[in-house]
Amino acid sequence: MVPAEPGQAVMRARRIAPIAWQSLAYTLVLALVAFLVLYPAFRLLVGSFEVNAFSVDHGTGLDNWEAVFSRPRLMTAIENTITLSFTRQLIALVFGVIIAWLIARTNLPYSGWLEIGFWVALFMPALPVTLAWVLLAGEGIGILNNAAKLLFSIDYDVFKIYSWWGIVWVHVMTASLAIKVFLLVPAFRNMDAAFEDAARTCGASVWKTLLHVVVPIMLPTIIVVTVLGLIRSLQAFEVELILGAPAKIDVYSTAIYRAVNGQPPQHGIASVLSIIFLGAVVPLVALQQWYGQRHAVASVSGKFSHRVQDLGRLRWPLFSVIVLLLSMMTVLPFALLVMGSFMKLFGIFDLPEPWTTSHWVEAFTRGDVQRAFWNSMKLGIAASLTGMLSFSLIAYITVKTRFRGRKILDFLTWLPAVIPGLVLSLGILQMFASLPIFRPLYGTLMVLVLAVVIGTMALGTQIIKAALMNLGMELEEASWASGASRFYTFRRVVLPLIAPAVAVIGLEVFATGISVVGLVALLGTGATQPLSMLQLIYLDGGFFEPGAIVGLLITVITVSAALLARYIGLRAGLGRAGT
Amino acid sequence: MSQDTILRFENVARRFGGVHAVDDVSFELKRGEVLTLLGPSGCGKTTTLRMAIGLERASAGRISYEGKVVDCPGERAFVEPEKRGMGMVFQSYAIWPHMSVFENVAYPLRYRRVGREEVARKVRATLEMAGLHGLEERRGTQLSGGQQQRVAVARALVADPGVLLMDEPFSNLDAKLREQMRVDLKRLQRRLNISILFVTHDQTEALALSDRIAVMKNGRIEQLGSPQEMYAEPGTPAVRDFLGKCIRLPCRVVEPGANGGVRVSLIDGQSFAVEGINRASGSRPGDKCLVAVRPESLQIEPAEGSNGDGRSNQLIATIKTLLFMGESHEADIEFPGGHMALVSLAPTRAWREGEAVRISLPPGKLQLWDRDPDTDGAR
Repeated sequence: MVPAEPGQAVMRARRIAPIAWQSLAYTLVLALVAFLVLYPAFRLLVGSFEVNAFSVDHGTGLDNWEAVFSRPRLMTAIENTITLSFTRQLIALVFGVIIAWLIARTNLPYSGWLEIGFWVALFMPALPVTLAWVLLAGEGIGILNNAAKLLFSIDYDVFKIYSWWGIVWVHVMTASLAIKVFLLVPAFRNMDAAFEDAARTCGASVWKTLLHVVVPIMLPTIIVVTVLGLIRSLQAFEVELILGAPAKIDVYSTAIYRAVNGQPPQHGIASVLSIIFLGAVVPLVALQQWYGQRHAVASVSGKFSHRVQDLGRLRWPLFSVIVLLLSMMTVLPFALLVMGSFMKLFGIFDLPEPWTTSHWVEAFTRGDVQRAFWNSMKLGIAASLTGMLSFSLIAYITVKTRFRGRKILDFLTWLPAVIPGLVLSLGILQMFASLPIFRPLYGTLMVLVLAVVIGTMALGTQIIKAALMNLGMELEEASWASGASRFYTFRRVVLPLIAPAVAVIGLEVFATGISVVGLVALLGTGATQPLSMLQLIYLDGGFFEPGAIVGLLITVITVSAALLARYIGLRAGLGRAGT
Repeated sequence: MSQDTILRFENVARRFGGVHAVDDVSFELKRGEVLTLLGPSGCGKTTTLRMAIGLERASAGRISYEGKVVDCPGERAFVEPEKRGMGMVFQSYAIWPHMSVFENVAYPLRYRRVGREEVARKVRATLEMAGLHGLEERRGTQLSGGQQQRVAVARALVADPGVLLMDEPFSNLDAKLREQMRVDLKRLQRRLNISILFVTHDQTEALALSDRIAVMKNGRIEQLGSPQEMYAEPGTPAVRDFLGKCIRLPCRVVEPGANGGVRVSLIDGQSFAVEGINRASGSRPGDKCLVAVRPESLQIEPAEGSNGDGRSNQLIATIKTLLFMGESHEADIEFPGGHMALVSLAPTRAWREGEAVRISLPPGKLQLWDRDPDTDGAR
């Protein structure tokens, strides 16, 4: 160390400030997230050993576990869960890859609009769409079935929506296919066209190129997307509840729901089922993460050509097929819901006066619809604001600070993605019931807000994180070097650049809050019941006409939010900022 | 500290975990000087630059700027980057995509209590100087690489910083543009008489731009001096091999020679005199050594039809492969004993592959070194 020369002043130097308070704030965030994510799971574990929770002689024991494993229906439920999931994932995968490739890499007309179409399809809420398909192909009332009876003078139902294939069909028509297209299109777009051109010059046809070059190169991405879809499939709930019940098809999640809603409620058994479920899904998620990190960005190069493949004469026929498919996924359900809401008795056209506005009048005068509407709006807005704020904070800590616990924080935000909505719902229910400091909140909308925020935490944090990582440290450093403070830099440089991503997340959380069923299924009862739960109850009870109205409300709000999010995202060129 | 020193590093170190990214680095940047930190990636040059502005903190040592300590862990002193008043050009340029060119360049002035009209005047003057006139309203994303680079320079200079720090500023440009930018930067630097601390891994760039160069390796400065000095008299093997091309011939010392030099022999026994710098640890007869010479110091002529004019220090070698490069020929030649070297041949005649050439070795330009570990085993 060279001694300081005389007269050498320390230039406006501040002492190395104790950054302890910063660390402390980060640690508090970590502790809060850890508690909210881990405690519900812990409560489930404890709950699974509680016997006779609602009576005087409660205690602990293995009774719940024994009861679960002595149920013959459980094995059937597990079998159904697996076969249903794999079947629809396989179908969705094949068509998803083809459609994504057509949109991203060929001269398919209006491919940008088709992509937006699949974005809308992705956000079509499952319950209203399920209702639409019941109205179309349900036994007894389905329009298609009745038309077939008239046309071909037959006396049986051609289409049976309340069936194993019915469940598969509705899933493929909602998120299963749309999410594959949504995730694969950007990945396909980043592939260097030189790979395809090379195959073409070697004599491969367009379709051989897809099969032998594009699919193998994109295989890591395709596998990651498929496993992700499989995890989501295993967690599916509402479609199975509505369509499976009449056909006596149980899946795992509906078994949990029935246990909680049974008389008396069997929380212990539901907890056991949830724990087993978690034990089965966690390895799958670990596999997906491990594989994704090893292989994800294999084929993306910096400089690549965007040349598209020529489909030739098939261009317009293929376009028509996809437009037809998209209409079946979006316009058709919407039209059926509108029609259903104006019919006296759904599907019965031979009444003297089949059309009526009385359902609408009733819906807007009835207390429960109005109350549910405002509950949903409050839930959506509160969850959206809380989500934007907390996800940004968590993302900033994990990406931009050197906080020691940032890796753990990152891991914790992933966990809720693993936990099925219904299981999380049960865990949160038990958390609020068991901790005295939370009791005053029990039965308020706060609980639902919390459930939605925890449930959307993984996606929200990841997207804001991606936006922050895209920024590149130098954009901030250039600001500091220019003389701006940390706060000014955050306000003038960081915030404007990630604002679109945050807004998109806000809208997506809002849309989730409006349409989500599983996450709130065990929490949103009585005074805090949101639209989605009201719809579930209408459908479960067979009240299709008011169900259609509630479904329409949910669909319109959700799809509007999704379109707005898409618009903001496109305007800002998300993912390209700062590169 | 003398008056003409603007930035001073004294025994500065930076550790990441157990790794010494920068170790015991000392240098002074003089006013109006371009000092280049040159070295391969991972040598610690960028970390050194980032410590100068405070984006990294030193683990030990002292950094002073304008006579004031800005970073000294021993005295618990640290000045935040935004309070140092330096200008920096980043490798990626870091042009904020949500602001126009004007807003980008005006940004540093917003923090210096400058009036609105003064800001506009200064920004326009700086843009003019950087050759960006008329692009004020463009967005960062609508600029070419060269324009982005100019915006980054303009933004770094607009607030009249005492020193300009540049982190590989030309590495994202194509070769032609890079040459143009070098000339522009040197002219600008001479005009403004600004001090520049420059980081690059490109030795041509370093030689062309710098008043002095510090070659870095493994976190330390290997040698610091003027480009001419470093090129002619490298102090370490790393400097010798990093700056310019160098032919290395494994030899053995035969006997002490004239002018304080030595006589050495190649494997096949041909001997010649070496009278340039001596960096070998020992030069007793029989010692293994390495003779290094810049290719341009060699005189090469056809062996046929010349008898060497009786000059000494000549070798006969063979052209193995010939590459036509436009203004010259590149030739891979084989020395007696089998050692290969790449040299440049003037296009004064038609050279042929397999042809024998007479190579004159000027004794004063031949340097004596210890053998490198990698060539030692060979012969």
